[in-house]
Amino acid sequence: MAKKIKAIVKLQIQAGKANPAPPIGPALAQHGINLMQFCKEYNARTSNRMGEIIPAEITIFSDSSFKFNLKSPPTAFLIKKAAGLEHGSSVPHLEKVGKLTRKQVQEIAEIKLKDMNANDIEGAMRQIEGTARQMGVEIEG
Amino acid sequence: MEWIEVALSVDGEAAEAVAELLQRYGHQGVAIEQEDIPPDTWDDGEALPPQRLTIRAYIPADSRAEDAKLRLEAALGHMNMMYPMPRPVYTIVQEEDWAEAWKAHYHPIRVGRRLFIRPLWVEAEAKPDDITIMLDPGMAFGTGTHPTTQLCLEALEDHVQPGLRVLDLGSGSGILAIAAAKLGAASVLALDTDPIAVKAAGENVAQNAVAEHITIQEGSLESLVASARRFDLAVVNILAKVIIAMCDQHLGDVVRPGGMALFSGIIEDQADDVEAALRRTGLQPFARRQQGDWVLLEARRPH
Repeated sequence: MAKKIKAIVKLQIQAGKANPAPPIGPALAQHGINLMQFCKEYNARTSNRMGEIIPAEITIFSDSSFKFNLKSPPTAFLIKKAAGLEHGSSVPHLEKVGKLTRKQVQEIAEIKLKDMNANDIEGAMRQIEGTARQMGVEIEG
Repeated sequence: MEWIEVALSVDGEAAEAVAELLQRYGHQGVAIEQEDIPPDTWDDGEALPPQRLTIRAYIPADSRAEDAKLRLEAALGHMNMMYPMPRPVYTIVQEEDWAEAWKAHYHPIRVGRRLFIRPLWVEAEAKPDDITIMLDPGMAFGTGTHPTTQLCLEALEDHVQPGLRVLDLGSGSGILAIAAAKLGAASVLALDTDPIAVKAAGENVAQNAVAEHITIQEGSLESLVASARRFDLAVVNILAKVIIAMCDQHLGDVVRPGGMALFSGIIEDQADDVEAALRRTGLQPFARRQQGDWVLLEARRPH
């Protein structure tokens, strides 16, 4: 059981609705993993959170077996939820579509910290502020 | 039906915003793949250092595709004013039956003299004295395609005698336990700490009609040492690091005096360290098998 990692793919998909259509089919079939087994397991583990985007991080091993972990919702999804937005801005440098307070940024950072490449909450907050600005969301204070 | 794959290679900082943008245009979501995973990356629970990521989304190649591409590029152009953005790469992807496509990666394989591993859905003619193992590859390691598994299968074929009590420690898909039972072992205990592997092994064991000889349990070495159960033959296909740690937790005790053990999942240059650890736990290494960089160690527990 020597688990050498061949690929790591994160899918940002709707909870409870995994199926073999894109992006799941083409992203996973090329690695030779049992696609329907992934879909079945993902749906079973996420069906109680319908309506959310729940990323699944799939680690594919050298013999094409795999495992997956569920991750916290994407930062962009949490920013939109906190700012009450449907979408980010298409012209983020010109048109600001929403605002977040520092406290909201901190709340998002606390959710995301375990899945981020950040050393501490301050580092996580800076990354989240960067993502927010690229979406046309301003930070107050 | 055709799809257009939109792919962008970005760093970790741009990834979230680009994924959010593609999520708007792509069918059902996006896939984010880590680029350039170093060839010797082990699943040891440590996070990989930040790498570049490829973000992919898929749009149907229909009359609205051009419009979607234009809007996407305009949005990327705006984002580029704040943070450098690469140009998207478009590839036409033919619709296939993705649910079945992965199966093309698997073919029946022959290991050792008589072992014949065949995916469940492949009709293949076995030779009269073949020992066939049917597998449905899935979430548990051990599909028969990896050198570490093949080394174990060959060693089992040489050492399993009718009537033996066998331990498969870190049983994964159950392939080695099934092979041992089909080679004549009276009883096999298949132990894994991962509940998903335990479930997969259960299904594979039932598929191969050897359930009466195999017990599958979720559990660790610790519980086994405490149970005082001893085996004629143990097969441990995990990783050098894990085997060495287990040696310091009395791994040798689970083999009866005069019994044998097989250790796999070891890279050539780790073999000396594993041998030293085996001696510390009261086992005597006496033979090595090798396939490519991979080594299997055979050891005996003295009387």
